[in-house]
Amino acid sequence: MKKCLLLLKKFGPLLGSILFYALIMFLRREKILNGYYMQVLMFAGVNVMMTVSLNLVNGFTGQFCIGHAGFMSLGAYGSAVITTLLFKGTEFAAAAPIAVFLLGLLCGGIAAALVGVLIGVPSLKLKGDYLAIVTLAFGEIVRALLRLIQPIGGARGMIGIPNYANFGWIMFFVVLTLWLVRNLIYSPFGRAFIAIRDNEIAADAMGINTTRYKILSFCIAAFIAGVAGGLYAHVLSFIQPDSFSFTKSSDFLVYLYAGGSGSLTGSVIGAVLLTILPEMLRFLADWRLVLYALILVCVMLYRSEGLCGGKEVPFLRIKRESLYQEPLFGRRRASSEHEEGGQA
Amino acid sequence: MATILQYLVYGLQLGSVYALLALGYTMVYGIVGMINTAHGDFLMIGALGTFFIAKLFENFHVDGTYPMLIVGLIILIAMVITGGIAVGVEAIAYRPLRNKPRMIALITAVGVSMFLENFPRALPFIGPNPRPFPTLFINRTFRVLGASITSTQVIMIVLAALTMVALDRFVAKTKIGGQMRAVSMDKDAANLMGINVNKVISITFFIGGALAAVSGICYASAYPQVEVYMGSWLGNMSFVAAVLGGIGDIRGAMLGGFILGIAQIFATAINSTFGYAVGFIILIIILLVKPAGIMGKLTIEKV
Amino acid sequence: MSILEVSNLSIRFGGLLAVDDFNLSLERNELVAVIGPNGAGKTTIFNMLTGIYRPTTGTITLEGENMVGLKPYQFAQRGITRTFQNIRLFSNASVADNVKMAATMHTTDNLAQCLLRTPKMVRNERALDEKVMRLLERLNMADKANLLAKNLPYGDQRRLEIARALMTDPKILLLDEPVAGMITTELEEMAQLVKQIREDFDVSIIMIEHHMNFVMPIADRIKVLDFGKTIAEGTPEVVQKDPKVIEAYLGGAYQNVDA
Repeated sequence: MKKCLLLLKKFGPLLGSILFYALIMFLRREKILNGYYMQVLMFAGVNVMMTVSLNLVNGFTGQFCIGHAGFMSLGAYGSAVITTLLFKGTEFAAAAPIAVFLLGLLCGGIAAALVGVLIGVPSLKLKGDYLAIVTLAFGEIVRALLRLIQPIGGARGMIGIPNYANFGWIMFFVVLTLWLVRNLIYSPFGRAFIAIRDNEIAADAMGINTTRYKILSFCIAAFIAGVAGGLYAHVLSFIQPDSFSFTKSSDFLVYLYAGGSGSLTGSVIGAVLLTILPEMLRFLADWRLVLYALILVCVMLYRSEGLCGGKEVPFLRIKRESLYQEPLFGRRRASSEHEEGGQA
Repeated sequence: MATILQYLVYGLQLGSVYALLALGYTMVYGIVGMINTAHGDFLMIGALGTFFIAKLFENFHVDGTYPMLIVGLIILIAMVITGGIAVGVEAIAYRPLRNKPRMIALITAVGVSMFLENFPRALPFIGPNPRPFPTLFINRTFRVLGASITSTQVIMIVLAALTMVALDRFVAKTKIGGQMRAVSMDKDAANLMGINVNKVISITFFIGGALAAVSGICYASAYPQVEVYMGSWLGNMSFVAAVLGGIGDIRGAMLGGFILGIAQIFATAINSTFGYAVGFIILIIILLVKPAGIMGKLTIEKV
Repeated sequence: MSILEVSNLSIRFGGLLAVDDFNLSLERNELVAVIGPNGAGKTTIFNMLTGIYRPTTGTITLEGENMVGLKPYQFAQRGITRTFQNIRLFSNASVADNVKMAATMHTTDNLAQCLLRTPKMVRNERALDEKVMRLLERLNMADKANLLAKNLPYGDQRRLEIARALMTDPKILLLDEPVAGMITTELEEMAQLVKQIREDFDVSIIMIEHHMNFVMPIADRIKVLDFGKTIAEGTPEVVQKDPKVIEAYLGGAYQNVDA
């Protein structure tokens, strides 16, 4: 009985995601959700990934990245180059489109992560607002470069990207991202990030190589943003440099802080609500963004810790006590054997 | 040679727009410690406001332009209106968040910016379409060393320079200027010394808004079109200018504005996209060499 | 053989010679107190001994290894850790996490293991948690393990700083005014704690403190600083009677406390 409960607790979120997916698919088949709504939902998923990755840098590591769309664009272009320029129309793509798609996403993520390290190394010496402005500059320089490179369409952008990404893929990557990032935060790495956020001088004095962890945080966030960018490209099948401007970066900042930074739940809620909200306000025509802006300002004024105020739903959090739970399968091994050579 | 001079004039012209806008950015940052992303939109309000005020004075319109006195009046009214809006924005949206983490104020500023752009856009008598900006200044062209310089350009650059000198003197010499410097160093201590911090911050926003209006008029006179989104890009560039010069430093903002304007014009001559990116490239290079900007001083946390 | 050898340590800020020719030879498991009036350069010495400031001249040698020029985290990794005079906890993290954060450098799990939360990683986490809880128990803080550091009372925050520093497995522990702002009853507790730490953890301790009746009974040696210069040095009894010290620092104050 107890084991059953534990099993449910452990696999509940997975089950919930599958049920949610089934529900959406059912609604789609019954034509309650049209293609447009499906696209909005998929963008919401991409935005969740972007916001979670931004949260890693801004919310958990306490750095200020305000050019996150730059990493997204690198991922979008990186993956689109693989799937569209290299493989489109080839026999391999026809035989194994999923492999090509995943390869594209991986390359997009790696491209973004590499550039993340590249800008991270020199610029993380800067603090606070100066770091923020460098990330902004980085995003805009990437955009300018993309406009200049003709083989990928220059300012006109790339068209005809195969729309490999469907709702299922988006769901898969969102759940995977949340799981991985949650694991990371409740690990020595995540604790190092939080230590740097809360007091960089003390973190340094406690033996944490702050520069290394800051770069790592940037790099992981850039990778996730790159993959999210790849998904975005393969939902829309059209990308152009100007889609990844500072406006886009500030969208993610808005999702993050309106949802509540330093909380994964906040990122999910912020990104989903604020992606769907403007679509729901479409009937207001020109007044839509006015109301959206008012809602945003009011949220920040009256709930400045964010909609979910740093709280975390149970399955996006790992409690200390859970370390002592009986494992589901097999016997619990003595924990001290590793760390202290069986002293206890 | 003539081309270089020509570009230099264009650069100074654009630079004066940036510098005026960067001043507001840098003052607000120096005193409240927030990045007011909505600052660029004050420029738009100034330009748009001037458009409508000029319409009100249509009766004085002669020979395709206005008499000097009327132009002065139009500019003054636009400055007061924009400054007033800036003060209102601060009182409603920023003041309650003053002691919250700075990112919160930044996000609110993003929301304010969105509001300031989309509200006029939604109003039926303004709308999204660009409008031609009225000619406020006499337009004569001089030829200097082979380059052609218009009187508008000269007036703009002189106007900008005068405003900056006045501001610099104002902050350095007057009582309110002294209070501003006190508040920028330590809000709480300033408060204890009997300085009305709210008033000082309101004045700062008023000056920032008024300067943005001047900058908007300069910009719209040079590129005679006004529309609701014109401020966001200029705002970003002037933020870059402010950081370049050392954010929080008034002279740094002016310097940064002119450097950025001139660099951008010369780079645009090579390639328009490069012209856009050059500001950011310069910014990164300067920050890597001097992490607090050209005039900025690095503060070190005491352990 | 001494564990830490500091010789001719000086630092200059602009025209100000903040610390002038500081020498110290610290024995294993010794407790040295550094005292002196405000602005004497005590915390500056700590900042040099932990790599936050780089000395203008002089050497710091830990077990034969030259430490000058290393980064603060490298000082900690080689065994010199400190507490801060103005408390610097990871305020939004729990007490247990604060201590765990100081064990980051001992982590054996790599990124992939942490991302996937492998059974081995969970085992290591549990071992770490057990170690942390044992440490907190020794400091009588085990019941507060899940509280946020910022919600702790002041005295507990000071003790948490010490717990956190101990978690790095230091060879030398630097305590920067461990009883500043504490009330008299807490002083006694802290004195007991410092003694106990010294016995249980086999560390050498350098301590900055103003409270004479806290320092005198527990220190092996005292160094007295004034305007960056060492003006006296020796056992508490010797220092106490040194006329220079009485004039520069103790004055009537210590006699008052003593009475």
